[in-house]
Amino acid sequence: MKINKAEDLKKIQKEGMKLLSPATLRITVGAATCGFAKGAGKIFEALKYEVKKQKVKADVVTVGCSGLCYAEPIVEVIRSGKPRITYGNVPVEKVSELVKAIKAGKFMKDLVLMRRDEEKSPLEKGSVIKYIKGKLPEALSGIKEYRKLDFFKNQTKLVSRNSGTISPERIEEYIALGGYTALAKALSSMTTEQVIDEVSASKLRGRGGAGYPTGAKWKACRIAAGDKKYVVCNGSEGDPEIGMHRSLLESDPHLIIEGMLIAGYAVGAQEGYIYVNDRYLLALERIEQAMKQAEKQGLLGRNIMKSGFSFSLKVKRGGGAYICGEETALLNALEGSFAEPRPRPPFPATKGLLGMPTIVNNLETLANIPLIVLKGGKWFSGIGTKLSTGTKIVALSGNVAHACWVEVPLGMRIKDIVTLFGKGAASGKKIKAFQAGGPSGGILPAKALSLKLDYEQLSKAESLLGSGGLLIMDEDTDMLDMAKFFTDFFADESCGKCTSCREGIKQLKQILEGIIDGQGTGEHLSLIKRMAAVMADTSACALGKTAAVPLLSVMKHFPQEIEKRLMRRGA
Amino acid sequence: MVKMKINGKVVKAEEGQSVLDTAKANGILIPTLCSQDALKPYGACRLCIVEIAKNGRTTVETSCTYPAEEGLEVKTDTPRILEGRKMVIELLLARCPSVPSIKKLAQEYGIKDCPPQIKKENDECILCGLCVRACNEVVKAGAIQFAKSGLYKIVDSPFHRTAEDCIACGACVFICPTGVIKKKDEQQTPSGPKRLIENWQVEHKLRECKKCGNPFAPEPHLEKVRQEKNLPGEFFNLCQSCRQYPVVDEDKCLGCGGCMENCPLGAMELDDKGGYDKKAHLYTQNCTACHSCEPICPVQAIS
Repeated sequence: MKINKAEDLKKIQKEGMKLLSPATLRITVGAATCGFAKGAGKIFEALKYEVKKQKVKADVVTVGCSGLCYAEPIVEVIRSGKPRITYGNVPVEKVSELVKAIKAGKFMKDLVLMRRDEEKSPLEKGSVIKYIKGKLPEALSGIKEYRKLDFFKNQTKLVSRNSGTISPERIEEYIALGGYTALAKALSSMTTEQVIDEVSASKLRGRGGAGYPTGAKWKACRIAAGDKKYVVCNGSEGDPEIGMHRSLLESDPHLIIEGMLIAGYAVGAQEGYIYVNDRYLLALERIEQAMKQAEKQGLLGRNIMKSGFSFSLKVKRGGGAYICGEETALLNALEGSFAEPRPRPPFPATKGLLGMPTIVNNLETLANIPLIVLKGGKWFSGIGTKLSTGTKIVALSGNVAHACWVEVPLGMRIKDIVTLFGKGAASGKKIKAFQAGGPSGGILPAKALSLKLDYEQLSKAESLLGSGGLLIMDEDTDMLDMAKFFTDFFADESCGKCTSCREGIKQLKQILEGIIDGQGTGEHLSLIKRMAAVMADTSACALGKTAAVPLLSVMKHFPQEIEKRLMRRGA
Repeated sequence: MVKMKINGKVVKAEEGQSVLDTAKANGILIPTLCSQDALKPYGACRLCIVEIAKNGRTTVETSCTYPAEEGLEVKTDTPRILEGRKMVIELLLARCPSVPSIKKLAQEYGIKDCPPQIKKENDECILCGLCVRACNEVVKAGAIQFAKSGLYKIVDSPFHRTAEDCIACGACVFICPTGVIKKKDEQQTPSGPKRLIENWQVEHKLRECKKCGNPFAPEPHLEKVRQEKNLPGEFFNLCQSCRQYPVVDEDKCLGCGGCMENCPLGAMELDDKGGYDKKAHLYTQNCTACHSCEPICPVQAIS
């Protein structure tokens, strides 16, 4: 069926709702990459087998990641009129027992994590799934409601609102929770200028690293002259320790498509490209499938919802190079040439892909758009801080007890994020340092945990919000080792175009290796500082400008660790 | 035309002209290793950095890639710029300590040697990309490219094998600022004269002049130009110095058209000079200088 107007969406909404809270049973398996890594594939097969064998009538589906990566594989049971029960760390041997319990209307106490009585969507008129009807059964009152858990209580789920709830393979379920209504609203009742105005009013800033205001970028592209315009979604994700783009694509691919459609409508583009890391096989499969579904429903392609607006979308696989976070290098890669940054000006908004006006937005930035269009820019600007509005997905990794990804309002204290969601260091020891925003963010000492997670505070601390990764290190971590790891990372990821970046990193690496071997002197340290300053000044892109930051930050915050490794004169 | 300031001096520039070219036109020299008039700006060597103040913000930019704009304030020799340039030269010197052009540049900036903590290599290529860009943008052969990335970046033939699209024209050799790309024309080999470009593992026959017998240009180069310009097969049979085109003495020419009928390549035509007067005219782009027209002329007007 082609969707032509808002009423058609409502029809599909009802269908989707029947799937999400069915009259019979719905058993979901968290099947994003994190889930699969911990055996979700086997669990899914076992569940299907057991359900058939034990003659239980149930809809067994795969869903995305709810953020509780440490508790994967996750199985959830939704029964008509009963709360949604979440089981974590489910071993495949226990699946048979679990299905038996489900059949008997009971639950398995040792595996249960939480229950959900209802699911509230951030959308105003969006649907609320009421799982529970009538009174809560006595037996279930011992299980914690998810909104009472630290993990969910402290999150503001906007972008990740559907992740882990809907099946990424079913468009009906996305539409059931208010999907594509933002597109319908924009196409039917808003001019392109109004859309851009809402985005500007939201004060949304790019989630890729630099934090450039999205509205201003769109406006520049909107007014730029060109026969053709393009929207490019940057889902390259080259940072070493994160995976939120992957999780979003695997959990809620239609959200990205809707964001890109609205962006295309706003700037006057008819073509879009999603640049995805080639290693994200599942994400690629799901986004491609979602595109086919959207096309079938008339939400992508020619004359979308009979509005006269046409938009085609293509997925382009990239190698996941860090340099492709730089938008002009990404454009070069899209065109099939060497991924090196282009001279700026001209900026992509006036002369981008194939010489045409182009907006390059981070995947998470685009995922924010539908909500902004639905609820207004003013509403959005009320979340977060004054200058850093909205939420940020944060991926906690490294030496952290609970590796997970969470969505928090900007301006939340980093310490709270680490303790509330990550539950401290995995080793149980004291946290010594952490890294925010990927390799370019450098390494910050534990006392910087009191900083707030936003663009201003982090850049004042000579770090950055970047992609939103938080890498935790405990007191056993050797800071020079960390500096070496990240300097080596830059050595591998530099494109090698600028002399200062390429040769600078080469020398930094060599000097650092000398210091670790006990060959360093004070002159080495002053040369590092001099070289870092020139690299920051003369490199073309942010990679070269920040390549010395990991080493510099260790020198600044942990000078004693370096000094004790320096060569003693006469020793 | 836009007006801007360079080192305090008001200068005029064409819109879109680079800051580097504007400075050059006004007698202000900015060093560069990777820019060339015939090629698009690239911005790899970072020597041409300048300070540019615009809307109250001062940034360091490469002048070769930055377009001239109304009201820009450019400074080419502030301490910040000189320090950056010096460091870049030191880094280049560490990479290529024996390249004369780098050594000369270092001398100009008063650099005797790079700091002792810097590790020296013995490379000769500075990765300016001039050869790659000349091959792709001007020659349009696309025979060589950058390979690998980061610290391991090199200029190479595809898959480090014989560059099959190389026509041995030698543009890369000519343009290389360090002289690392070398060509060798060998006159005496068993299969005739040859040109070797070792860097791209290329070896091509040189065409010998039909008249003087001297080898003058590689076969694929001549063939590429011939095909591109749609020239006849024998067009490049003679070397440049032997190629003496026939000259028509219009005073003697009767306009009989004998030469035109006999020209194998249709290079000779009759031009109307008004009335019944017609004179033979040679279109040199088709002429191979075979001089078959010469004995045909009844009045010896062609020589």
